[in-house]
Amino acid sequence: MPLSLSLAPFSFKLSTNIPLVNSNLEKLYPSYCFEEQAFTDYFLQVHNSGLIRQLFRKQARFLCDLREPFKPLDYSQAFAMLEWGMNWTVASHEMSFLLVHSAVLAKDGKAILFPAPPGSGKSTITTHLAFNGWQLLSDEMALINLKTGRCHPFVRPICLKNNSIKLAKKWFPHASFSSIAIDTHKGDVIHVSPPISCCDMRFEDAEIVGIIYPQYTAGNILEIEALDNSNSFMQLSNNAFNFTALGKIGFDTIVKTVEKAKSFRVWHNNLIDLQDFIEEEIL
Amino acid sequence: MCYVLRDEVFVHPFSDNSGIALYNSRNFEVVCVSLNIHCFMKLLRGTTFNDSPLNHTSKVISELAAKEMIERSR
Repeated sequence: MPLSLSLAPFSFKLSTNIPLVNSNLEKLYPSYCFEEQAFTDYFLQVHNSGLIRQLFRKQARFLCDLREPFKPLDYSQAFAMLEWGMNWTVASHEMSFLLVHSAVLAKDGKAILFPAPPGSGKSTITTHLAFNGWQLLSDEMALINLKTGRCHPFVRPICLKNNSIKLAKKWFPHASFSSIAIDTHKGDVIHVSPPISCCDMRFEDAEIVGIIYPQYTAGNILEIEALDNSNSFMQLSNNAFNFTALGKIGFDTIVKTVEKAKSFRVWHNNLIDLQDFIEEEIL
Repeated sequence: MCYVLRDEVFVHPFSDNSGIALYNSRNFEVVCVSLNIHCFMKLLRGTTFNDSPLNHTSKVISELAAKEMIERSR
């Protein structure tokens, strides 16, 4: 029996025969996510590999609407594969929003985008802010409304990698963590459930007032460089998933987003300093 | 505000005068010319164009940028 997974604004049906996937879903997602929905956007499957393959090294396979976009992964990485698969599914198919590869957090209805490549400390910032009173809209992608320019939440567990796993467990020991996926292409990976207050705000969109391009750096410093609109535009468009597919409306949406927000490039190490900067200078 | 250049190229001069973004609707290509050329912005906004050497350069840049994008799409 497929499982309903309602993650506003999208709904999924998930079929899986891997107990690790079920146990992590129950641990990380609130119960309302499993309520039956009238309409399903995407049909997903996470299954173990065939009988012969199971005998010497079990693997997990991900399918979206009966297509298999990735090669199978190690069985222990099945839950991480589902999370990445959901990201891929939305990023590859959605045309109702401008999708930007970015974390998004908000305070008092004002959202900050953190577009950045892997390894820039994006998820560590996300975890820190989400557990310090900010509203988590997304750890992975910004859903920007093409008409209003506001950012919609897509609240899911935060993906932590390598050194940030230890930090998050130390800072927030009472949070719900998934089982660890070892030796993935991103290193060791774990997912952490956001605070319930973030889940409760899953329908509350926010106005984008700032764009921060973060880069983690060694040493206890915080360097900030204000970016002009041209620079910010090019960086934001480079991080957009469906920019070219949307055509002119995608172009217009990025232009408007950049025009109304303050943009900065930030080299950071101290998250408290970074939070102070955002709250004092941008919000 | 977005402007149309040569039918298929949309141009957006940024309000902070840091440059212009150009979008070719034929091949979905986007170019951002990051220059601090105030007169070029004025030209695109349709204000009075004085035939100074600087303004002429700006005009040439805009024409070349649009032409390049149109050529690439063919």
